[in-house]
Amino acid sequence: MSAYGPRPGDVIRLGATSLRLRIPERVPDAGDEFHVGFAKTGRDGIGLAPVTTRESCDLVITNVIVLDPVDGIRVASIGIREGRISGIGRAGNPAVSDDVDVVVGSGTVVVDADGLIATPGGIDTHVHAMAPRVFESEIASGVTTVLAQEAGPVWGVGINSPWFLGVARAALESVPLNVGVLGRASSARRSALDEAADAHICGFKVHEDTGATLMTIDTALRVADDIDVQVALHTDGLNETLSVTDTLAVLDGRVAHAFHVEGGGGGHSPDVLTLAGRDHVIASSTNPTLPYGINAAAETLDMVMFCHGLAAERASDLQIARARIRESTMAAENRLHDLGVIPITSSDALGMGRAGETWWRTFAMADAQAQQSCDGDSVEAGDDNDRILRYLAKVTINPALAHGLARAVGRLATSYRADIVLWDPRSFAAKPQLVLVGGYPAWGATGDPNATIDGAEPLRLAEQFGAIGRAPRELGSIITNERAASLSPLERQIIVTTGCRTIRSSDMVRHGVLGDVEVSADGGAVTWRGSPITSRPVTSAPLSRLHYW
Amino acid sequence: MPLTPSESDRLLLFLQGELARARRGRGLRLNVPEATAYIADAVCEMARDGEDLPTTRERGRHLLTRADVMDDVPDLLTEVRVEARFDDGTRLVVVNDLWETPASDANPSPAPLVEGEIEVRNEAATAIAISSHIHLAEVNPRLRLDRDAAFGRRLAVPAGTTVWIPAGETVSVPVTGLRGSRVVVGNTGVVEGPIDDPRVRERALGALRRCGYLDIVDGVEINGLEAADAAVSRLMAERRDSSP
Repeated sequence: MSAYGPRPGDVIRLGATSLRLRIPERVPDAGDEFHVGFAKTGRDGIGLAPVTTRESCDLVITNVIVLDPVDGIRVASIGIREGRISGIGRAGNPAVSDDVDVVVGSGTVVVDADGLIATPGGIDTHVHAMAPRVFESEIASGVTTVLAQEAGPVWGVGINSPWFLGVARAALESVPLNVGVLGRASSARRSALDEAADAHICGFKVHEDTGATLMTIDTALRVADDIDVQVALHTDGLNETLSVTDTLAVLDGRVAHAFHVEGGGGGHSPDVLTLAGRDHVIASSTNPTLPYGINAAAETLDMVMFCHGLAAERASDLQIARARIRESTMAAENRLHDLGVIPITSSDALGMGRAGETWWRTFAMADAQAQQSCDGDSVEAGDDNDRILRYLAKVTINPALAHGLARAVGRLATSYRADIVLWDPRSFAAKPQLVLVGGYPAWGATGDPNATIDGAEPLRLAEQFGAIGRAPRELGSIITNERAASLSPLERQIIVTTGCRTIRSSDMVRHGVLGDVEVSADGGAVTWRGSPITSRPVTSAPLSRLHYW
Repeated sequence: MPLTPSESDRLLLFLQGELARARRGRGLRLNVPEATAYIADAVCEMARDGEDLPTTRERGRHLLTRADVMDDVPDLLTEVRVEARFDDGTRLVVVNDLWETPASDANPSPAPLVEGEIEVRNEAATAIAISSHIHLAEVNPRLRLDRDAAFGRRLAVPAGTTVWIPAGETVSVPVTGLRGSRVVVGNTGVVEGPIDDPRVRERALGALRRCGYLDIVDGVEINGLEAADAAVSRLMAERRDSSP
């Protein structure tokens, strides 16, 4: 690899995985690379054009391996103006270099990212914000957009109270992330939902613990249709009033986002996984079963008991909790991810998942599946680019599409919010180097504050300037719905949900594979398009032991 | 005694080092954070023991071998940087070459197409370095070169590399043309325009020669070191006169 980042044909191993990233393309800058430093090209009149930042850009991220879930992979520089990506391409001064796409001005801030990987910030659609530090864990792992269901240690699964939501928004002014809150849609009457809608929720959550019945699901979908938001669906795990086919009958072709479709997190037992593979049900997974590991089932019972108010000494509680735990569906779920059937991964933070582990678990699953699938395509290609981009889409553009955010976040492309994570390829998906939110460094590896350099041990992932003072309020967004945004405008950057009711599984980037998933009546076996489907539990997950204490 | 923020970090590093030592003591091969802390903490303590910086750095390289760490660690951990308090105060210690495999001298960048060679003689009393992308016609007045031949050109060497010209020596450098829209702005301020415009070229080269830049015009050396030493002052004087 050259000093200014890789060149076409270079193959880079991602972290300690078996995944091989091949560089297919680089901007045409051979011998004329933009780079800052002593004797380097980033100087006035050479690589820097003596113009204002309005004529160039506010900030440039140089020579980085751009991973965009839609456009793919290339080495380029990313220009940012006023928090948005203004261009991706060759950086420099067009007065003395050919083919410059990103004009770097003499006053442009430069983030030297030569050889690093840039991805869009992760999007976590399933977060129980029981405590504000959950956001630290999210951003320190490379997530920049969060859909929360609480704002405090409360029985939430959605917030409806305009007063509670208003205070939550005040608190979120110090959080350097894009945050939306889901309203609780477990009501037979729409007034409780309309109240939340007008108080700036960005979607609804139907949860069995507060009622996932015919009336609650139908009401949620009706209001969602009115205000163009998504419905996150946690179905009836008891099958008390609805079985999985009944839930589908209530959906009646209307789209919903099926949370933790494997079932450990809840939902129809044992067959909630059969919701996957359908066009109008966008399925997602929560991260403890990614990758499916030898201890996955063993931890699940205690999680279920704690998170759902169950008592170990009560036999009936144990019975309904145990009914949620099936190794067969965990094993099948991982395979369905690789096949492009399940398009989204999420955390379920503080509510049966881990805020800071969606990135590494998603790519550890990619590694496990690469090793188990023996697919001819990647052997022939000599790389895993397709698989890398497929798994990237699960954490970025697909959750954005599902929740109507895909015009603002989830991609590295012109006009998108500059929510960008920079990774050293050697620790890709495990620990970021720097997280930019709205184009500004907000979190990253920082060292001894007294040192002569900024990289002296002990390093920690901690606040950068975008996370202190009033900067979070300037940089992050509140995600809201169109009706609320026009009724009571917020004095903040907002992202307005759009396209939530017409989105389908078949629209999911590098996914959209449809077909029948069936689970045997005893929950012991899963088939995909009529054939048995499973995967082996990993005994050792990459990106974990090597990088963490 | 109150702790400074840096001392708090030192204690955190000790705790990390202690955990790494305990795990190593149980026969475990260390991972990236463990190996990093193991080395960094030991470096700080060598400084406390009164060792000097070069000794500490050298010993730091050999604290762990490949057998002591997980297989992937040598690929990931190539350098440990820590500030240790030596007897003469706090000093930066960078421990690299940890695994007895010195980094290869990677080619920083491909060299561009060479369009010719130009001889450059350094008549200054000190060495002068020329970097890849500087407009060659405008380099230090004490460098003797055919500035007309150098006009609109830069070194044809990998981007960001430099050619070092010791005092009194002559070096032949490969050159290539500037690209893009070929407009030179800044540096000495004598060009400030499109380099393919003959008037711009004539004006710029004329100014450099007039002000005392060492040059070779039609094979004849013009100006001498005394003129060269005064050249920037003369450029400044012309600049003052032309822009009130």
